Amino acid sequence: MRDSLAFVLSRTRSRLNAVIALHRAFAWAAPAALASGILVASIRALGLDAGGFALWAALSLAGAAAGAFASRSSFLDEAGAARWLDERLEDDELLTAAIACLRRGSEGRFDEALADRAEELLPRAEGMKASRRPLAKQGAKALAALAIGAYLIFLSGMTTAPQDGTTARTRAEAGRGAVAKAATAEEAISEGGKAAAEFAASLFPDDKRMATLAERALREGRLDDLRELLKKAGLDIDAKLAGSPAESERKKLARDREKLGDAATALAHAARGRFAGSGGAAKDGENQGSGDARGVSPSDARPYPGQGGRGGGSARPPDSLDNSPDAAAKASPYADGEGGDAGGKGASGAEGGGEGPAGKGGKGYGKGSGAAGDWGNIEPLKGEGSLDIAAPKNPNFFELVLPGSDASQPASGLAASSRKSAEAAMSREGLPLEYEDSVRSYYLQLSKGESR
Amino acid sequence: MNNEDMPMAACIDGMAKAREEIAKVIVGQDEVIDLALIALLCEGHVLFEGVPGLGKTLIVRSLASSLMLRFSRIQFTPDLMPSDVLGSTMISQGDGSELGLRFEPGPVFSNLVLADEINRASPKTQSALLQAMQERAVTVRGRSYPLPRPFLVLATQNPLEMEGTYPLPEAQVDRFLFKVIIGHPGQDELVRILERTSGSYEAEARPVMREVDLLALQKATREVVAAPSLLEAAARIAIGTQPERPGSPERVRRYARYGAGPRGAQALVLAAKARALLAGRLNATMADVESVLVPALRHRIALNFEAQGEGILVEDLIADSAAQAKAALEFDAAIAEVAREGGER
Repeated sequence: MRDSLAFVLSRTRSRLNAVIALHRAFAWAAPAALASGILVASIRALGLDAGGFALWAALSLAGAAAGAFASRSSFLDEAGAARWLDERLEDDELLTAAIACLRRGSEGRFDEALADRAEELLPRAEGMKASRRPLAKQGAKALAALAIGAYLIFLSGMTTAPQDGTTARTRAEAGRGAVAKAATAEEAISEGGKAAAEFAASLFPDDKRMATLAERALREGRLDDLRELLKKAGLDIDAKLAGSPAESERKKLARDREKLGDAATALAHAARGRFAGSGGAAKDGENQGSGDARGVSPSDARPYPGQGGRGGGSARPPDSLDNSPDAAAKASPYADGEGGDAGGKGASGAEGGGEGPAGKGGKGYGKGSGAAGDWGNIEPLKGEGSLDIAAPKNPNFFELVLPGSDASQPASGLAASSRKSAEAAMSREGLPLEYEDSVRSYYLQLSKGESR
Repeated sequence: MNNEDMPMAACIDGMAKAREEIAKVIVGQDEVIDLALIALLCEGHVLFEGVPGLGKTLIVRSLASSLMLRFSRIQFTPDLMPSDVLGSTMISQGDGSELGLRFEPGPVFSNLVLADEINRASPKTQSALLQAMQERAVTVRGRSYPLPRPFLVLATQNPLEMEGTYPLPEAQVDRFLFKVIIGHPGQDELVRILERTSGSYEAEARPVMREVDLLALQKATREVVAAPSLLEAAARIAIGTQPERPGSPERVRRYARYGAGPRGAQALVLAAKARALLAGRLNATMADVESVLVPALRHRIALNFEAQGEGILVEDLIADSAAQAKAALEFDAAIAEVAREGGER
């Protein structure tokens, strides 16, 4: 083949194939960017870690690469390049014919003459250039798709930011998580043992020492120490976050920070539940003894009529059934305690706290009165004698009245599911916190009653 | 063309002059004349179809005059015998006293043969002529007599008076390179025809080319370059007219009874080469193929009853097949767009 002709055709072919590859890469990148943007945004909107922009960029790039790869089937050979030049030069397919002549060794009568004619065209052929406009158009489409994909991901990041919490779904999930966490913390505080170890480990999964300290604090009922531990851990995380860590590390620290916050909230919930029993208002002075009116906040002083009238200042009301609004009435037959011989003293700000006449009580376990604002040592549950409920006649059964059938049901079969239903209902209906505490304590007591 | 091709250039120039001479006699009918010249270069035969009085005989006669070719005309009738076309063996007595058999060549032994109303002769006579066309020789009593070269049969048939005719079998129609439909002249052409024929002016085509030059051109026609892409396109078009092919256009599969065979593709390429040569080019192009598409293929495709009922034409199916073949040769979308929008630096 004549060198000059071969050179021009080869160069034209390379240029055209580059155009084809780029065009196809842009054409494929556009839908890939859009689809991956929607995918990543959707995953992020569900609260999952989808890799964010990195995944999106990788998928878009993969689309472009696949397009370029697929374009190989459309690549032109030299005859194709000659045909393209023929169309542009309007030379009656002279270059195509010349290529055919040269490939067969110029054995035809007119082959050399044709090649000569083709060579005369080469200066014009060398001047032919591929238009950039189609590529620019396709590139603009791809860029637009990239921008849309990126914007979608950005939007999804905004809507799933932890501090936002504007959607009902997110709120509901957060509420459920908090309830579960609070229940776990409450169990850890009240039961100690394995529950405390698990709760502590969940708080500090990466720090055994802190987990051990937390477990010990839980077991020994030192909630203030536990709060200090959480606070210290939070400060450590804040310090790390201030150090501009990598994206992945930042996310992990943020999650840990959030977890610690949840734990602190859960501890507060649990503590409130713990104190609620003794925080009864003393409005019904007739029946109450010395109601410990100390609460976490003034609002925790509960105006339940008659509540807090049992047991004269036992420091463990959350373990008692007396949280129910009609506790006073029930306390009488079951408590069998020496009810208050002292009037309850309300803590400062605890509206319901107050003095009242001494209640009557019978013989019973324990006696005492809690001073407002001073908890002293909080003793963990130690077993015998700590419950104020009397065993029912048949502790394994509730007496439920269902029409037309034997309504007796094993308590063990009902307690767990009932508790779940109650939790779900509380979460769904947005029950005020103080009522939630009562309900939760009720089921806790019930489960303990079953175990006996 | 360079100096080496000068004789060829002179021959091509001679063809152009012959065309001008024919145009002196024939008003209009440019395409018919072009196709006749192309067929002459391809050594093919042409079937003209048209009503009487459109100048078919005059075209052939003028062609023969301008190219200095021997011309004969055979009027086909139902009682025409093969020997009336091919020639017959006669008893003759030479200078000596012995009697002998002598072959007397028929009118087919000419360079240009006008077979007028070929469909009126019996199939036997038709076959005799068509065999001679194909073999370019006449065999009588076991002896073969080659026909003169160049040899071109221009047959005509009247599409109106079909009663008492013997339509040519498909296998024999296939032997014609082209089937040309001669239409009525337009108003301007008719006025010019009237001017020429109603006065005392008698135009006559002058001889401008020798027989040997024509033979050289016939040889050169086959040496015109056809690129592989062009051959591929011709093959695609011919195959695309076959209804049994799954890849054929939808209308072809539905309306065609049978399509063009290898002779159709050969006709396309050869005619494209001849057209290129007449235009002074050494390579055939897709435009050449497209210009001869219909006359080269229309008699090689048969429509089914449904097509006739729905008014589908053979030309429609050819157009579908050609469009499909061209689409297969289209560039990638990106390149096509670049080709449309790009410019010369």
